[in-house]
Amino acid sequence: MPLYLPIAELSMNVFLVIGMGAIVGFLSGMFGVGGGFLMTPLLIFAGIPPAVAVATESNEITAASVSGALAHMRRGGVDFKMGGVLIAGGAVGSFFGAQLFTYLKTIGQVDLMISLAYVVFLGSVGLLMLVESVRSIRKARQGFAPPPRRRRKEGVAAWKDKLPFKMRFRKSRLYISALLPLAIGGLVGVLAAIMGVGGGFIMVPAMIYLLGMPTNVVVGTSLFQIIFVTALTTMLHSVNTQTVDMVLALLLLSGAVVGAQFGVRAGMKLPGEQLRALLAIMVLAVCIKMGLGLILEPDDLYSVAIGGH
Amino acid sequence: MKVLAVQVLLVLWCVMAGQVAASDTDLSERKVEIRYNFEGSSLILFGSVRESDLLVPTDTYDVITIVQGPNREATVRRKAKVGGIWMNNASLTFQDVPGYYALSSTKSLADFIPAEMMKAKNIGFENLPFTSVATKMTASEVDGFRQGLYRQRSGTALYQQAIGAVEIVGQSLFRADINLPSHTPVGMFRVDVHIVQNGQIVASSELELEVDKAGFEKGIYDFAHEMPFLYGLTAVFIALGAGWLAGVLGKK
Repeated sequence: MPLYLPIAELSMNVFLVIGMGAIVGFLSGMFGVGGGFLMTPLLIFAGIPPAVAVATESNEITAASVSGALAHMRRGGVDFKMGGVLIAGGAVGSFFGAQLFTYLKTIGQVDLMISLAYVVFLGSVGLLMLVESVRSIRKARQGFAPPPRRRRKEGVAAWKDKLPFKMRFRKSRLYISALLPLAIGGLVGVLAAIMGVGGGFIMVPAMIYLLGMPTNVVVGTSLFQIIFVTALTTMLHSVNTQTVDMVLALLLLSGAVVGAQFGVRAGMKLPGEQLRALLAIMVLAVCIKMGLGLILEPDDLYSVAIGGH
Repeated sequence: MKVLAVQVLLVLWCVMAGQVAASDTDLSERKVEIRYNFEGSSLILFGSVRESDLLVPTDTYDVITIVQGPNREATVRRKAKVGGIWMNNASLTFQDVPGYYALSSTKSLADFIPAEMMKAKNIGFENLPFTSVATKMTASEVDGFRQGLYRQRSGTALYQQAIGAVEIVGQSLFRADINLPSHTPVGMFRVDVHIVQNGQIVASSELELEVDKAGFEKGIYDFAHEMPFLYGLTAVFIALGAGWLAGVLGKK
C-alpha cells in the first residue's frame, strides 16, 4: 500500500516503513539502545532525503524515549538534577548543531558531515565495545567471572576536581563540577541535531566513566535528557528547514513500539557479553557502510541538491 | 500591471501565431492532485490534426509533445576526491530549470526535424534556454554540470525522452501517455505539441497542466511551511502522547 509522505515528497510503501520501524524497534529493544543510529542511515538508504531523515528521526526518538524514561522514573532511576544540567548543555548544543546543519545544507556539505559524524562516532564506540565484550567473553570462557571494576575515583579524577562550579547530585551521590555534565550534554545536543540520534551511545559511557554515576540511574537519566533534547531538535529543524515529516515519524513509531516488545524478550535470552558483541558488530557495520560511501568512487560525480526552497 | 502586460503579450502572441494554426489537443486531466495514495500519475494527451494545417494533406506527418514545469532554481554539485574522501567541491546553480521534462515523439527526432529548427523552437532538453548563475567556469565545464543534471533527473524519471511514444491513429488523430512519477514537483506545467511535416512545424498548440498537493497531504505541507513553530510543537506533542501511550500499553 503506497503512501505519499507530505514533507519527504515521495511515495513509500506503508508496510515497508512500518517494517523498518519494527526491525529497528526490535534491535533497540534487544540491545537497550535508542536505535536512531540505525534508523537514520536506513531511511537515507531507502531514499529519504538525508535532511528529512535526520529531522524526522529526532521526532521519533522523542516518542521512543518517553516510554523508557517513564518506566525508569517509576522505579526511581532518574536523577532529575543531573538530567536538568545535561538538558541545559543539550539545549545549547542542539541549537548550535541545528545552525551548523542549516549552514552546511546551504553549501551542500550536509551529507558529508552526516557520513563523517557516523563514521567517527560509530567507529570509535563500536570498536571500544567490541574489544571490551570480546575480552569479557574470553575471561568468562577461561572460567572466572570478571571482578566488578572498582574505579579509583580519587586518582583518575584529579583534574576533574579542579574544575569550578561544583554541584551536589544527591541521587548520583556525586559532588562534581557542573561543567562536566554541561559539556557532555552539549556534545550530545550537537550530535542529536546533526546525526538524528538520541546520543545515548555517547552519553551512557560518558556518564559511567567520566562522571562516575552509579549505573542504576544512568539509563533513566540519559533517556530523560534525550526526550527534551530531541524535542528541541525537532522544533529547531521544523522552524529552520521544515524537514520534519510527522506522517513518516508516526509510521516508524508504530512499528518500533511493537518491535521493541519482542526485542526486549529476545534480549533476555542472550548473555550480556554476547549481546554487546553483537551490538558492536552492528554499530561497526553501519559505520563501514557509511565509510564506504565516502571512499568509493560514486557512480555519478554529479548530484542535484534536493529541496531548492 | 504585470497581469496586464502578460495579457497584452498573450494577445500579441495569438495574433502572430495565427499563421500557424493550432491543432486541437487536450489532456485526460488538467489538474493532478497529489493525495495520500499518490503513486505517480498517468495522463493521456490526445489531439487531432486538421487537414488544412498540413502542407501535403495526404502525406505522413510527425508529432512532438513536450511536458515541462515547474521552473525553479537547481543546484548541481560535483564530487572530487579530497584527502581520500569523495566530497562535493564544486557547484553550479541553474535558473528556471524545469523540475519535470518529458519529450515524446513519433520517431527519432533527427529523422524528421532539423537541428536548427529544434534550437530555434527550444525543442529538446539541450535546447532549453535556462542559464546558470555567473561563474568562472568554462563552457565545457558548465555543460558537464548540465549533463549531470539531466542524468540525475532521468535516473529518477523526472526527465524522460520517449521516441515512438506518440501514436498516430488513422490519419488525423494522435495520442501520447504522460507519466508523472510519485516525486513529481508541484506547480504549473506547460504542454507543447508540434506537428511537423517536411522538416517544418506546421501547427503547434499549448496547454497548461497543474500538479498540486491536495487534502491531507496539502494540509500537512502547508502547516509545516506556514506555521513551522506550531507544526514543530504539534509534532513534539504527538510524539510525547504516542510515547506515553506505548508505555502504558507495553506495561500490560
